[in-house]
Amino acid sequence: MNLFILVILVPALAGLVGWVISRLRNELSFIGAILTLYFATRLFINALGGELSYRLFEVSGQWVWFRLDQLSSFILLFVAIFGVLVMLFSFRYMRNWTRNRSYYLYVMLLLAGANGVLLAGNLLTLLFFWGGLLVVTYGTLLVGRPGAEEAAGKALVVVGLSDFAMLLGIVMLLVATGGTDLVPAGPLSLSGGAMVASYLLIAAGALAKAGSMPFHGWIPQAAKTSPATVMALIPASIDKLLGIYLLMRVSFSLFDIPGNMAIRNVLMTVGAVTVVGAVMMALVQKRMMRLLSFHAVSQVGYMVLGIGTGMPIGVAGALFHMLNNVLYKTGLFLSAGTVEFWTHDDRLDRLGGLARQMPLTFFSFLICAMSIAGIPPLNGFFSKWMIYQGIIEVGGQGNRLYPLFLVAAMFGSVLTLASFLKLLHAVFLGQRPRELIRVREGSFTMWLPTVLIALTCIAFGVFAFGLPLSRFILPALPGRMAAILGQPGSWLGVWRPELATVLMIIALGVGALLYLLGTARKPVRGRTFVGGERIADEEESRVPGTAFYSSVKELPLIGEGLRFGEGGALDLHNWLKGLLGGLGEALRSAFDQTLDRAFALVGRFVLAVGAGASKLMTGQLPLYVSWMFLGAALLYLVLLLR
Amino acid sequence: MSGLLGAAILVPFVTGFLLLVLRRLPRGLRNAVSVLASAATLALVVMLWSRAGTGSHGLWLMGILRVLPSPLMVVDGIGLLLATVFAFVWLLVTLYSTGYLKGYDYQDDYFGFLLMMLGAMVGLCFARNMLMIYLFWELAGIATWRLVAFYRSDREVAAARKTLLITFAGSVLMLVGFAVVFVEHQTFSPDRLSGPGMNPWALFLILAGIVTKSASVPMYVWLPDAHTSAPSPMSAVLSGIVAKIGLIAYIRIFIQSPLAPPESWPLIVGGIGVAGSLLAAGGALYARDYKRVLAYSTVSQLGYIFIGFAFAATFGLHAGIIYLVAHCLAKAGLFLAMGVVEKTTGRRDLTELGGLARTMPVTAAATAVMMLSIIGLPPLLGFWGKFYVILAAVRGEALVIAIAALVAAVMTALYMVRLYRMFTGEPREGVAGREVGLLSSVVAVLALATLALGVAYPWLSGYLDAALAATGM
Repeated sequence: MNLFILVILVPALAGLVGWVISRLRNELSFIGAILTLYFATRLFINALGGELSYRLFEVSGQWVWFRLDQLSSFILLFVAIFGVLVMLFSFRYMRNWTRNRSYYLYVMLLLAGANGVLLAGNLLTLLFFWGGLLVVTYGTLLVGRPGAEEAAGKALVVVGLSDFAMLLGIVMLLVATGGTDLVPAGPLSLSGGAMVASYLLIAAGALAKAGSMPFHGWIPQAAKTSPATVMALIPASIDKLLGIYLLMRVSFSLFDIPGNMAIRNVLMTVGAVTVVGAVMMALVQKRMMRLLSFHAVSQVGYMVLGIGTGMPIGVAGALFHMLNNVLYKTGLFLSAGTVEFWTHDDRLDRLGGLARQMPLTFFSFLICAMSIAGIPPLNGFFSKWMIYQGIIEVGGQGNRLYPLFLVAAMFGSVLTLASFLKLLHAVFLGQRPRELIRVREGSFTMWLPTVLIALTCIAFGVFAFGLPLSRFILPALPGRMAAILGQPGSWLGVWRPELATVLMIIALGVGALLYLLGTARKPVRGRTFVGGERIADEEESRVPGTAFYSSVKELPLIGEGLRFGEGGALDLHNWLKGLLGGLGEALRSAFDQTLDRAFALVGRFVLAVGAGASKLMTGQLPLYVSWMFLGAALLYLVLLLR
Repeated sequence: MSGLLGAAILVPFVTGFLLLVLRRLPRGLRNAVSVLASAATLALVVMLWSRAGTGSHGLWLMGILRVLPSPLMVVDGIGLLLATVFAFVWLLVTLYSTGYLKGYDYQDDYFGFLLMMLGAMVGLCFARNMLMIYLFWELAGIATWRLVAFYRSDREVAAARKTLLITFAGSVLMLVGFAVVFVEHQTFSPDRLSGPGMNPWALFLILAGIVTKSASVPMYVWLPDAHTSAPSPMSAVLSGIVAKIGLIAYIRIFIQSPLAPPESWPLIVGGIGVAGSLLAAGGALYARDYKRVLAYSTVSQLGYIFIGFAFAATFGLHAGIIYLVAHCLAKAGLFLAMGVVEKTTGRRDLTELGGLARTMPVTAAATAVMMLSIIGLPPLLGFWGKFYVILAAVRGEALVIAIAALVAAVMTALYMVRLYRMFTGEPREGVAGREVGLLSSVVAVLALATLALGVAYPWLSGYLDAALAATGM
């Protein structure tokens, strides 16, 4: 059978059969995920030779069809890879959770839906799988602690709204151009209200999928109740891949945003606000998963910024950042999941000092944290570096706002580092609470995925040219951009990751040597003067990480902003609910009840007239006769006066 | 009259009438006769598919009515599709009723009127003459009046009275409109009309009747009360099928008439549709009785069909009919599912229910499918309906209506999720739902039908396009 069909059908079938034969669901799901990876790899290799397509059927003049090029094929490959890794991690991790049966079904359906979105040849086909994914996401988010349905409902409404916005955008495109192909012969020019509106509506759908502000509200909410694997799979990997994929497609293949500076400014503003806004919220969080989830929002901002620049290097950087983010963010959620698996708690003041007990998890977490914070020579640094260059190049095109975007991006990076220092201290370093003494390293299936991801993060940073850029990113760019970028290495300033790594290793070695030879190892030990106070317990004097940066809340303007954000003021879902709720209530009370009363009034009027009329009917002949005379007199008058 | 068409109308009608007359049949026999008569109707309608294109002139009737010789009933593609779906749903509802109403009084009345109403609906699907439309319309109206008041307490009788009076007021206005048309054109057959356009008074009066029966603003007030009073299977028929009467009349009288509608017509009808859609969605967001939520939802979705029909020239008729079928299956199924919940928990308030999915997995899954169809998610049938309704509105250059309709769609998602919390939320103390074999399987069949027709949409769409082309649309 055709590979296009197989890569969608096989995971869905594996999930369904696993759901029915519940005893074999782990095995079936794993086999399904591996097969999906196999098909995706074959498709990736096939797509290297050029674009592939496959027509399914025609509905009222529009074809439902699949197509694959290098952009979709590399994302397809990574969706499958993350499917396998998360599935591997789930086997042990999910034993702590209920409703496993539906969990495996939903994850497999999620893979199938994501593959369908990536293969879709036009927006109609894409919408089909996009809507299906929405439902599966809702179902997946329902697997969780009590209260999960609140987050799930929120996701359904916010993403559903953006889906309907997208539907309108697609319809407008269809009416204006007669087709919805994702890659028409040449990109459509963004001129005229209908085209701009259509672009913005479809882009809103893509941004909502990626979890950018103001569509982000459900992600931190889900972090409270969902398993780490769900967080790793949906907001951290699949949603990012699909959202940014669609944004790339509509921005460069379908429409041509480099030709429209206003749209680019809108995108860059959304990106900058998302970067800074979400990272500020992350700083003051007190729970591990919730903190990570705000970073999942914040990082989207970089990708949107990069795409918004419209400059080849910025766009390549955005695509690279998407790949990197998916790597380290999945690694972070999974490592955090390992911690939570043993501690049954993700409150930061209950954690600490776990590095010694779970060295592999600590290693993965550390690498991923450094990568997300943008520390060279890791991959996160490299892609941010490219995005910065893209922003500066926009300045070269005469955009006056570019310093603002640049500052926002860099500021966000600093705050990311700060919040991960807090997290590292609170979870792995610092003092260990007494009740965590039994915590151990996760099993093989739990540490293997995280360590693999961490090693990939290093490899993608150090060998950025050789591996990700030349294999995945640059071939995936639209032809004209790839042509401008040309040879990798000709456009990166002085940054040479291999050389820098060697230098850094040397520097670290020198530092270690100094440490070992110097006096740092021989501290002076003495009794601390505590003013006669008796220190009762080590436990009580522990310094948890939660208090880090809580003083940010005291700062005049920023603190106000944070309280504003914590209260849900930046959350589209709340606006929407308020707006629609208000509309509903107003309509209901003003219209519905008034109408109801009006009808009741008509009824009463009719009854009253009837009652009045019946009083005239007394059965006495003289009365009827006088009525007849009165009537005749009236008729006579009317006829006479005419 | 073509024998098969006559049989499809008369078999349920006469059987229903006999059930009413011969009260006190043994319970089992009465149920068996009702189900068999519904099944026979479905079979006859299916057999009618081979007779597409034939019509009936009913010459004796024409002699009485002194109308020009034009067919009173025509077996066409649209009518066949609708009648088949209706008869299919009706059979399921009848089957469900035999289990649901066990132990209540007035069951002879119920099944008798239910069957008579089926005959009227099949007739309405094929009626091509204003008087025939009026005849079947009123027959269904009278049956509705009896069925809404099935439980016979004061509240139900009041709701039934309200239903009858308001819809009857509407149909009287419509009848006056028919009279105006007859005076101007000397015919009751919409296909035979000719001239520059319909008299504005006639347009207004007929539209008023349609809006009343198909419950859109401002005449929808009878529908929420009727649904909260009627037994669940009756609500299913009322929402899924009977509320569509006005829309079917709209196709026959306005869309299939050769007269050109006035310039502003799409905006008026589309405006009525979208206003009803938004307004009722607001009501559904706040209602606490789950049957009331679904009733408001019906008004909201009927608004969508109105939008589709308003832009009939731009693909809207196709879109509206698809939406009509989708809504018929899904909403009937939802009311039946809520019937299972009501029967086993005894609660009607959303806020008192939660976590029912654990004990009622089949009903929960089926409800999810039908809800998603109404929200409009692929690959369910509702998606195609909604997509093409929006497409028709944008093609008709009514962007504001398209946007407002999408806002209503978001509100639909909101209230449906709110409703679905009864299955997903926390289980409540002392509230236990369970599956009831017969009832739950009927619900599951409707969910499967929604799913199957959604997947088979390319075929359905091809069929419908051919049928519309055959009728000259």
